[in-house]
Amino acid sequence: MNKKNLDSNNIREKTIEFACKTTAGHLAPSLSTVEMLTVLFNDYLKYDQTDASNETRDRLILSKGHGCYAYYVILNQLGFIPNCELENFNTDNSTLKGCLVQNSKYMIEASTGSLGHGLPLAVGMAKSFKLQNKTNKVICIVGDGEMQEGSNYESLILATQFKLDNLLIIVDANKLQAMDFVTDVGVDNNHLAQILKGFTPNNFYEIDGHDEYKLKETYNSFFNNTNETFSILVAHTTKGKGLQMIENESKYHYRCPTEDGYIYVPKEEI
Amino acid sequence: MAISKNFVMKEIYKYFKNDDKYVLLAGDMGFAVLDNFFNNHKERAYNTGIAEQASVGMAAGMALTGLKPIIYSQIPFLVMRSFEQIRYDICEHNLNVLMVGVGADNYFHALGRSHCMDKDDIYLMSLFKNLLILEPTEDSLEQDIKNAIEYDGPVYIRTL
Repeated sequence: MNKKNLDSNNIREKTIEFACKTTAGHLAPSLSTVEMLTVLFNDYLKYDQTDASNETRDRLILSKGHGCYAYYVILNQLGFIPNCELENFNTDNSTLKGCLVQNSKYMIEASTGSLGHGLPLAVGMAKSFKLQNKTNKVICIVGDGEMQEGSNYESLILATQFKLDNLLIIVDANKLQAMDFVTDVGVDNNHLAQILKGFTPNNFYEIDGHDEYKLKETYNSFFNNTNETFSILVAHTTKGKGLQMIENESKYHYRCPTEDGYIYVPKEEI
Repeated sequence: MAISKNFVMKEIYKYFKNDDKYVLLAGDMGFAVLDNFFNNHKERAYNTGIAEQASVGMAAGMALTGLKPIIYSQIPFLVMRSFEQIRYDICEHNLNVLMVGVGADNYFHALGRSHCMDKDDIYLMSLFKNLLILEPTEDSLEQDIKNAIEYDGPVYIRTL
């Protein structure tokens, strides 16, 4: 497929701009997804920019449906989401919500926002494609906090039964959930990675989730996977990456930095 | 009065056997009742285990990608354990998923309250405006299953 010209720095900049202009709260959990999404949409995911419903497209399920601003910006740059939708966001006129709502025109595959729902959907999609002898891939992005939901472990067991070599699960391991660090609530991400590795030791990856080179290495492995099992990538990331005032601060899980005096200035005007 | 799962699944099988888009997700149950499904179509009849939430979510994912899933599970575990998945994964996307609940009207009373919920499943499932609820009798069975198959949206069938 043709390489697109999405640029992570630009996506990050536009994501910050989008949140600040609309005073939208879930900026920090969106910023940790920038590189994993940009690289995926640039070089790997199969989709048709002229037809969001093209059945041959791969499916991306962003299960952490609240962390969707970078995803919105990317879908906008690819021409799926019109500018007016981004401008109207967080008003009564917007179709886009704070958590994902399925929209076949915008290539938003499923509604997510209640955590622990995306991975079961993705497992069902991956099994469905295999049963129908289709080559579509399914990628599901879950949060590290979200991995506290029990339905995810049910899904991992079923993904094992069905030998889903067309499924990649990405854990956005940004270390923070809404109120606390994940270590304060339960297992730390190294422990979580060990647990997940046990499900698919030969197709398990653990990298810096902001390192585009390593993301490409992992995606290359997954998109050429012949191991007959699903893949898991634990992507260690920084919540709020790129805006120092909110990086690694639990307070900013759902708080727009403009509420604390931050004034967004476009880079080109600095 | 609901009728036995045997009658209902036999009627559903008439459609299942002729259409490769149908898949069966059984919640670790179905001895004898599902033999035709498992023996004749094992590539699309699955025991999805003791995992009701993921099974319902999986069914939704399958329906979103062109399949016609049938879920077969105990009523309390289907309706209550995976209630949010029924709401948010199946009904919210208005998917053609057929849910067959087993053990209506305290059929498993010998097992105690874990497996019984009177008719409360009807009250709970009635909250979903796009969900068709059916309780076939011997007389209505053929027409009810035909309606279930043709209905554009989720269907819940309660059986003994």
